[in-house]
Amino acid sequence: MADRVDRIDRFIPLPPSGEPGMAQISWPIRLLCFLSLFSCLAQPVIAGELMRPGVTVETCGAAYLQSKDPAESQYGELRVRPRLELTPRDEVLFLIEGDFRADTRGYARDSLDSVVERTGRRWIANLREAYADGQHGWLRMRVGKQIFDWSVTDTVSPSDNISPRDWTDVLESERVGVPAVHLHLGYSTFADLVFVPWFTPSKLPVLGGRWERDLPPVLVSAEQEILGRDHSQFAARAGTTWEGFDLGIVYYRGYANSPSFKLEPVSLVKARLVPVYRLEQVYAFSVSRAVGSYTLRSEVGHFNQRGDDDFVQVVAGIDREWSGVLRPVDSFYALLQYADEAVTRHESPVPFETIDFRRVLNKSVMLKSHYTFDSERQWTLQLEAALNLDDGGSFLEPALVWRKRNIEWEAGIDVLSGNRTTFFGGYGRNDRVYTRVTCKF
Amino acid sequence: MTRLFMLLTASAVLALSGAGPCPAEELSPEAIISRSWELFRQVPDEKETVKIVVAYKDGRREEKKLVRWTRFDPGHEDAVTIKFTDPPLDRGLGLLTLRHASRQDDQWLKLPSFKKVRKIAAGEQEKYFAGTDFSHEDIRQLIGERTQDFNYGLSRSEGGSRVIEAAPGDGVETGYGRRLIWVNEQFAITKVEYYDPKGELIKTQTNSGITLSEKGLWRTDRVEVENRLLQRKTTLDVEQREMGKGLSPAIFSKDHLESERL
Repeated sequence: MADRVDRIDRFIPLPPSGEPGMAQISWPIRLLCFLSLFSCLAQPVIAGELMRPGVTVETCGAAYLQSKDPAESQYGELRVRPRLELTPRDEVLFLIEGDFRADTRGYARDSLDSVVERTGRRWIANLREAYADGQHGWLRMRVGKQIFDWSVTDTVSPSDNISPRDWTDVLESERVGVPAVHLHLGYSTFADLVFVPWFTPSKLPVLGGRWERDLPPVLVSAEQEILGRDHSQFAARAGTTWEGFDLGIVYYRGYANSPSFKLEPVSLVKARLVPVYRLEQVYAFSVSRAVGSYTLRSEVGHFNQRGDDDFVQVVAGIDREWSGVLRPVDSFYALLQYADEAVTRHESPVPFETIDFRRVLNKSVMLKSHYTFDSERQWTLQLEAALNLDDGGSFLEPALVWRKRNIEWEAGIDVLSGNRTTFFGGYGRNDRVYTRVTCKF
Repeated sequence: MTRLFMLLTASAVLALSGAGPCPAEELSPEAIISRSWELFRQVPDEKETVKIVVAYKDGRREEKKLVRWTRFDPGHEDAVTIKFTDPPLDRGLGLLTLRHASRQDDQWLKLPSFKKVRKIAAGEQEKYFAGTDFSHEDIRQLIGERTQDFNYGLSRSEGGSRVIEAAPGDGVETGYGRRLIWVNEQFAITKVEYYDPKGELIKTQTNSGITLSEKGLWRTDRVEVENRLLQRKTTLDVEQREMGKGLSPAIFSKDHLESERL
């Protein structure tokens, strides 16, 4: 309890004792509170074409099946994302989305104090996205904090490098917004230019938390080394559709969303393993095409990393949806995907294998499937799985989802298996039962 | 004589001037369907705000709202963008279809929980769209039918309407064995019955609130589909419609589907 009060104090400092009056609250928090209140109250009243407020409330809980300490066996989180879209004219859009989250393990702490997220930890109060977007004919420009997803394949994508990731929960990773200037040119044949002036680190598993990897006794974990703000990134993409083929090429110059490592001696027999960000250039190509009722997707990318391995990563997948499988209105969707790589230049900064989240699904077959009982998609059975063909590590997530109008409820199980030296097996103690409720207004 | 000649000439000119569309009874069934869609597709583009209500026999109702943009191409290389605005869980769900005359349509899907747009196969014609009684094939047919894909025959006349039977041609992928299409004297489609390949009636579509322009352009403000198989009814009401406003090509792009813009 004292820890939680201390964490709250960090972003709402209490006035000195004996002095009455309101706590001093930083301007971003005030803005977010106003936004939340406005979105919740205004939505049923003034929502229309000009202004569209909304809010998403999500609560989740998990029970870990292999914890000796009862205090560590349970996890709960509450998340509120208020959102406001303003379109004063058809060509102009302003969007702001806040992100409040609090959890029972203290993974989220502090609050935003600038547009750029300069820490590797989640904030209790944050801006998820906030940008101005203007379109004029074939040119569109978006300026502000925004999330990018250039992936064509699923989960693993050499083309998708701009947004850092939140890996606080390794199985529920998500993209983090970055302040950027984004130019989009064209229509079905298009080009994108993105300039990110300031560096934003990814959020790694919290030290001492469930998702921190065990290290050999000679190594100790360290907080990631965060680059100075003025380390810009640049990305360009061009794409077109030709004879049913969606073709894309991507160039990225910046920092990997999964850091590399370096060793810092602590003593004669111990060293600190420090996550560090290294400059890289990525050239990637993507293609997707519908063939009958199937869709084929593939990406290939060459990663040229300064101070770390260079490699070529290939991802290929096929997916399809069937309808009327067991009932006239049901449907079944399945995606099968394989990823692999070839190292073209060895320059590993440490003499042992480390985790690069972009590459953990190499040599793995991934399955995503869902069966929906009815056309309203009210009940859905989901199954996600991954199997590393090399080391036998595996991940399995069956889940049941119920949806109705503005509420979605999901309950499932995560099972991670394999030798403890494998990626999935190393998280084998994190098997869990979870439930999540999402309400959208 | 001269006056008579002038009178006869004027009559002939009036008769040949096409003061109105050719009467339906003078055209073949295929020509009637072609004429119907020709009149429907006189505008280059269209934007509609639509409310869909699905009513079940147990009293349940599901309401959805969407915006649909359509670009009509003379060569039938049409483009359609659909974005859902309600219910909240479906807000952000979008579909972009680029129709092609000589090959499979290109389709992209945007799911609410994802930032990106995914290419999908347009092959599952009979799959119901977004929990309604409209299949993906129906959604495409709502803006025009490829008459070269079907064989048409006159079934009967009913009141002032022609009831035309449409059966798929060889090799044509469709979820229906045949359809019966009611076309009125103004060439507006007022009713469609859909039959499965075994000849069982699946559903009946009724178009009402039909408006006609001077040039014969017809639109329906309400489409009702009674699904006999699933025991439910879908009602599509057009709440707002704008035609021929010169929609930007940007609306029919993946970038627009991905954005929050309506």
